[in-house]
Amino acid sequence: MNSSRASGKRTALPLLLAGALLGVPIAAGVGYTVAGALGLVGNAAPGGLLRVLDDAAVLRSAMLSLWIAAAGTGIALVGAVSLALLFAGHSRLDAIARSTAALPLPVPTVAAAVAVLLLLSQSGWFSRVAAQLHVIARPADFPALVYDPIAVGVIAAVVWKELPFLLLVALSLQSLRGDALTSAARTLGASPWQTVRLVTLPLLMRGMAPSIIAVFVFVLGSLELPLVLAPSSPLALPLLIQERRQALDAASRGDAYVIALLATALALAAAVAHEWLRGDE
Amino acid sequence: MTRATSAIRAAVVLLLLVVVLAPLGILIVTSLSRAWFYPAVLPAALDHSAWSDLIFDPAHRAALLNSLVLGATTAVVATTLALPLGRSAALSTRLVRRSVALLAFTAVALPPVALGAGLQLTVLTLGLGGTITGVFLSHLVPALGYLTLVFLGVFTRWDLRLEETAATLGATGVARWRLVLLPLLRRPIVEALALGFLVSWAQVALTLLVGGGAVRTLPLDVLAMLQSGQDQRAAAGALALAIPALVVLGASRVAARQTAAVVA
Repeated sequence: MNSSRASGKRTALPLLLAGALLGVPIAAGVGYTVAGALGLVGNAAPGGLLRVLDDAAVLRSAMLSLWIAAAGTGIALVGAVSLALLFAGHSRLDAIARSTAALPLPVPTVAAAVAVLLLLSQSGWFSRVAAQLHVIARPADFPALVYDPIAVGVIAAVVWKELPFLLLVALSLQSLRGDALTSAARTLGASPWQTVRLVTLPLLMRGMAPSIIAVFVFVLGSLELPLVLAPSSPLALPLLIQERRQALDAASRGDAYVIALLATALALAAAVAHEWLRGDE
Repeated sequence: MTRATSAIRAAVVLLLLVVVLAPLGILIVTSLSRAWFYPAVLPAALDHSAWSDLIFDPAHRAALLNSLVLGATTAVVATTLALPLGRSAALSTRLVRRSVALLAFTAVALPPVALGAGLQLTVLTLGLGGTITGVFLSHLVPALGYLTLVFLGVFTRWDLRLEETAATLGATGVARWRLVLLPLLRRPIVEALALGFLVSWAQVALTLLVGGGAVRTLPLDVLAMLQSGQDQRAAAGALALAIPALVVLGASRVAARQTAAVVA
């Protein structure tokens, strides 16, 4: 009897705590967004799901946001894995490389965005250097790397900010895994490249999958990076939601909640995929 | 290691130093620049007016103080709530553990603009719209998500035998926490406080939506300065945002090393 009561308490307590501390605010947030989409709150008319899905501006915004998240996460991942493979040792150079690469980790996204703007804009520091070297004659000659249609500036900021996180995950996985499997592969005759390609990389990718999803979702929902660096047409999805929420007509405000709900559904799917891939660590 | 590999590694480290330090360098130079006209590579003169404004201008100082108060309060409250939640979930069944982890990750993964739209209406209903308390409550949601995941990870690998031994030797619940758990948890608690602070310190979307423009924080000030073309002040503000973050990271690493020494 006592044991089953203790077991019940062990199950009920965390569920109650999680429900109250995390479930209630999430449910309130999502619930009010649903109500907004239905035109019940937020001074909005009911948003139309089909109208939103058929809206070319929404599609272009979604494509831009997905492109930024995919390219930024992909480049950061390649960089992080390359650095983890190059600097996994115990020498002074390895330590310097790891510490340097980790430096941007705690820097707030807004600060990173401002720095990238000051470096890459058409009147930024790289443009000034190009002008001094007589490569360009005026700022307009410098390629548009911010507010540009393929969002080079946003992607650069994403890579600068997110590579350290993925690098730390890769290094931690390498240190937890040890070198037994790679040693075995080498003993069995695999070349160093084959060992990396057939043993190290697949193991790293499997272990890093939840973190990759986390970075992708974070970038997809980020407001401040596109606000500072992305083009104004098309708008990145978070900016489009903001713009429509502040629109004068009630129908646009309703549509904003519908788009927010679609973004929420995507994040929830990512959360489920994250937990599924993470397993029971 | 061949000579070619050593040369490649050295070149990569050099490139890494440039790529990582250039953004911080441009913020430092811009924040101290005066009369920096195109196409000069360096400013003609230096001054510290942007930094003085940040500290002595009442509006900017209020934003800085709001950010500090929100960061500190979010860190303390989120750590205090996430620790028992993470511990109880980690010591429970697999299903409960994974359900709590899913909920915590959802709090982190929901796009702030989408979550904020709902939270804004919730906070307005509570009569807290446009107040620092409302903004604090909204910052608490992602902070709790992150810290629950941290403590879930800590307690999933936790060795219960030390607590059991202390109990066998007659230690009460309070004594077990004071003498066994808290000393061992010093490192994760310091890291959680640092992370909780940073989640709030860097928050833009939730502050903007729930604060409704009435609650000014440093990140919002930086964006406003940038949009009004005040690059020098925006750079100073961005650095002011980055410096505490770097200090917090450094301090948590030092604390972690000290704890490792104590535990060893």
